[in-house]
Amino acid sequence: MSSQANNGRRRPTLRQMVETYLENRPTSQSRSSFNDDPYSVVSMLLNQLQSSSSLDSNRLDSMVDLLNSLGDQIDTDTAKGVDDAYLDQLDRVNVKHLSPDDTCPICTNEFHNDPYPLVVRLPCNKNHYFDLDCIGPWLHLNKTCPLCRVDVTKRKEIVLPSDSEEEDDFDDMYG
Amino acid sequence: MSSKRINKELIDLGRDPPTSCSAGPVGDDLYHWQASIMGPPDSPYAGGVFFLSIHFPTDYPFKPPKIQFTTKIYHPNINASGNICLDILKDQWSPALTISKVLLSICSLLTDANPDDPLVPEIAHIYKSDRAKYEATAKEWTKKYAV
Repeated sequence: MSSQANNGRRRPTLRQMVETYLENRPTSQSRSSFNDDPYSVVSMLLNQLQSSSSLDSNRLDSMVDLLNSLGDQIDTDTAKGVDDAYLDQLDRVNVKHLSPDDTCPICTNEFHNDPYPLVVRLPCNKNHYFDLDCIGPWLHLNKTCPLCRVDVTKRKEIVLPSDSEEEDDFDDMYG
Repeated sequence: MSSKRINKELIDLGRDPPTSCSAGPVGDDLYHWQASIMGPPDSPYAGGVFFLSIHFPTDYPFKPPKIQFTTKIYHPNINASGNICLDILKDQWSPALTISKVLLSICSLLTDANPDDPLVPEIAHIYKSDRAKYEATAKEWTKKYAV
C-alpha cells in the first residue's frame, strides 16, 4: 500500500514531463513555453499516456488541465478573428442614447443594468452594438457580426483607400 | 457567462414558449437539456413528438450547443445516431442565436429538407428521385417511433 504511494510520488508530473520534452527536443529554441508547437506536445502526452500503466487522479487532473490549456492555445493559434487593436478602434456607443430595454444580443442583458457599461458598434450596421466584453471574445475567434454575419474587417478595407488616395502604401496593402 | 445566459434562456422559454417546441434541463445539470419538437403539420412527421438532447459547451454562446435527436427519424439531414446536419450548429453558429431559434430552425428543416447537403445520402437520393416513397417511409417511422 505504501509502495503504491511512493510509486505515485516518484513518477514525474505531467508538467515535468512536458518541460523535459521541450528541453530535449532538437528544434527547441526557448524551453519555457508550450506556445510554439502545441500539437507535438499533445501527441507526446498521448504517447506517455499509452505507455503508463496507471494514472492516479492528481495526475489525470493535471493532464486534463494541461490538455485544456493546450487546446485553448491551438484555438488561439488557428483563430480566424481580429486582434485587440481592432477591438480598441470600434465606435463606442453612449448608453444614455439607448432605450432602457435595449439588450446585448450575446449575453441578452439590458445595457442599462450594467453599472459600468462599455458598448461598441460594429461597422456593418449602426444598430449592431454589443457589450465589448461579449463581442470581444467572439471577434477574437471570428471576423463576422453575430447579427448579420458580415465580415467586420471588410468594410475597413473599402473605406481606407478612398480617404487616403495620395498614399500609395494603402493601395499596395488593400488593393 | 455561460450559466447566466443559459439561465436567461430557460426563463425566456418559460415566459414565451415557442408553439411547437419545448426545452429544459435534465435533472439539475444546467448544461444538459432535453427538448421536444412536434412534427410540423405540413410534413410527413405530423403527429409525432421528437425528443432531442442538448449539451451546452462551457464557452456557450461563443461555441454552438451540441444537439442530437434521441427519437429515431427518417430524414436526409439526420442520421441514425441522431446527428443533425445544420449549418447554424456548425460554422454558421452565431452567439446571437438561442436554443429557441435553433429549435425553430430544426422545425423548418423537418418541413424543408436539404437533400443537396445530406447526412444520409441514401435518404437524400430517395427524397430527390421518389418523393412519395420518402414521405411514406418518413410517415411510417414517425408512427413507429414518435407517436
